[in-house]
Amino acid sequence: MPKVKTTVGQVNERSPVYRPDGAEEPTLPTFAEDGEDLTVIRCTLALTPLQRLRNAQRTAKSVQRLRNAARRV
Amino acid sequence: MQQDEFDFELILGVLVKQQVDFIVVGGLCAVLHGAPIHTQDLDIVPSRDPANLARLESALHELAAYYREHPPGHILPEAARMTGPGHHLLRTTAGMIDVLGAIAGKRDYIALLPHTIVLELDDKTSIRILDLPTLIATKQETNRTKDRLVLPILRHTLEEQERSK
Repeated sequence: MPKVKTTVGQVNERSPVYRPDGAEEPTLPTFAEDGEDLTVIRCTLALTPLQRLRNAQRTAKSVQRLRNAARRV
Repeated sequence: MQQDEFDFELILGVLVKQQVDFIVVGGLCAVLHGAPIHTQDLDIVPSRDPANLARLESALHELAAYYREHPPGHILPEAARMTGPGHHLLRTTAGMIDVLGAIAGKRDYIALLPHTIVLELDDKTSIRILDLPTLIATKQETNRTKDRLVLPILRHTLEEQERSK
């Protein structure tokens, strides 16, 4: 993948992702061609299956908590 | 629905404890493969062997399961009802579970078994889940809007898995 220079506090033309000054360009693409954020997938792949399961439970509970709160407003 | 009704771990633990033969499919299967998606229920395809359905019935009773389209406790799951390919939409004290006799293309437990992997959640809990390529194939076949929406994420998850091998 060709490297793209970035300047302090700016984003480059290829991606809106901020890169701090001096940081190397990531070796893997951040986004897929369809715009999917591949970094999120890599984060979940780094978890164990049990951690993924517990994350799913926490997420479901959080969504429900927000829905219940919205109903009270 | 209460927040404590999303205990997939508890439901899976009861199924394993009761020695039910089943395959996790659907959204939670995708989650277990590492796909960053959101799901509200657990989908399983059980073996429809009569002895297994009896164990499944025991497990579902332990979880106080009932058909969620009907009032709580009104219609309870019974092994005799689950011998066909139909879908049983249940609610339990630990969350929702869909017991699916077969999924896309009438694929039942026997047909899906060669396309599964076993995951060890912890020392006591091993579960069988559909492999990711087959999960993608079944969602392509089903072709519902919600399946089409999740397909790009599943495909990228598979690509990332293969890239990191």
